Amino acid sequence: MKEEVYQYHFSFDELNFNEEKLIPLFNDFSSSYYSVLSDAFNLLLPFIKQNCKPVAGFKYFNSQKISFRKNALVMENVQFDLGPIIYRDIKDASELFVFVCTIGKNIEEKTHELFLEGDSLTAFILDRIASELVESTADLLEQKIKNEFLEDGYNLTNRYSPGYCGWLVSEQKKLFSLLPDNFCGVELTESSLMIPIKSISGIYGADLNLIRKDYHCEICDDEFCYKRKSKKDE
Amino acid sequence: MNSSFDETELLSQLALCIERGKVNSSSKFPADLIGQPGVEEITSQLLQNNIPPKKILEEALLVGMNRVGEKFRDGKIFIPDVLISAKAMNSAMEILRPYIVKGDLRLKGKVILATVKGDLHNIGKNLVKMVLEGNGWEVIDLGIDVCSEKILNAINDNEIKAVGLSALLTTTMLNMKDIVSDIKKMFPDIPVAVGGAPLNEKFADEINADLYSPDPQGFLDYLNSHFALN
Repeated sequence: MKEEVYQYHFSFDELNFNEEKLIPLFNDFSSSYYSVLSDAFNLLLPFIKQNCKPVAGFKYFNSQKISFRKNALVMENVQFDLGPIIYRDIKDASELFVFVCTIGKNIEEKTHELFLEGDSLTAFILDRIASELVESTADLLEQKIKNEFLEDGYNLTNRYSPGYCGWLVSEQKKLFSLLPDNFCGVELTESSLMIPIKSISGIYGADLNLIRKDYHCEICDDEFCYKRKSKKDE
Repeated sequence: MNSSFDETELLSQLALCIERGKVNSSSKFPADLIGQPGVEEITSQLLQNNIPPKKILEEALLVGMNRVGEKFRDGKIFIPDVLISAKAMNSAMEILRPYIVKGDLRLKGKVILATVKGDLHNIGKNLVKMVLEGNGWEVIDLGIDVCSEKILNAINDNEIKAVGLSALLTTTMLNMKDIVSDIKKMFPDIPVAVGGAPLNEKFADEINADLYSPDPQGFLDYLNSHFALN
């Protein structure tokens, strides 16, 4: 790998999000209300298509640049206290990818507008779609890393983000300290909140013959984590 | 009064429309009520027949929303369904608004909602707002990134029943502690409820909050049980 930092602008169509994917996303809606969802989606779709701006990127760290200590990872002299859940999964990785994804700020601004106009239901639907779109952006980046950067026989771990799986959200600052300023157009607030809000950051590990394990939700106490929720729904 | 007018039947229909989220006759859902009058038509008809707004609110609108609340507590429906009913409720409240403005109809009381300092997430707070408003509470929404001073001023300027604070990050939920403490110092009798993904009951106890609720319904139930209807 010649460069260390890569950044991509994807199109909405590449995210492959369509009405078929809507129903599983809203499986807590009573089926009698699916027409509400469908109507809202079709009404919002032109706006989403025009305003969803997926950008994703990563910085690559080879084995010389990473080391592990008990429950911790060190990259470029920055120590990350990952906690036991993530450490257990990532400690054998020989390469690391620090990534950031976003869909931009337009959709969250529209959501805010809808709330102000009193249309909370449509705002709620749009917000949930936006969350899914940023996850899809991360999935797309993952595919790109797998297809274009991993050598034969290598595989990626799960993606892990500060704020989940026992990794403190405050470590977000350390993560961003490794990346160029305003990487992918994402900035951090003092309280480690990413702006635009519909953004994801985190790490992947990679290694030869790595077997990707499931998320360890059974030993995590984050009752409201989206990963746990999506597993429950499977 | 219209001779074919049946007050009891219409109040009952209105409660059902709230429960099922039927806004007006052109609403495409619920499918089995397509073409039938919804909340907007029935509320207007009741008012035209001189039924007092207070009666419409208490004997139809809140009856419908209470049923929704019960179904939510029993795990039969989830937040999206509550929002659909709350949307129908809000369409009725828009029709009743002139009576509220004139003082002919009093709501249950005022509640302050805020996302705490350092946090810019507003979805959770807005959902709580919609559910509370849909159940007859007046919400003063202070927005996001709200400091103690702004909340204290709002309590000072209004007759407030309770404050609800939201945070979505472990970093920003820590700011709740100071805000709750500041509120309690100046207004010890104002209950403070907290909510947001990283919170739990233990944290709420530690910061001296009066209530932790993982969903809007929990806060609503608390308010309804602690404060009688005016």
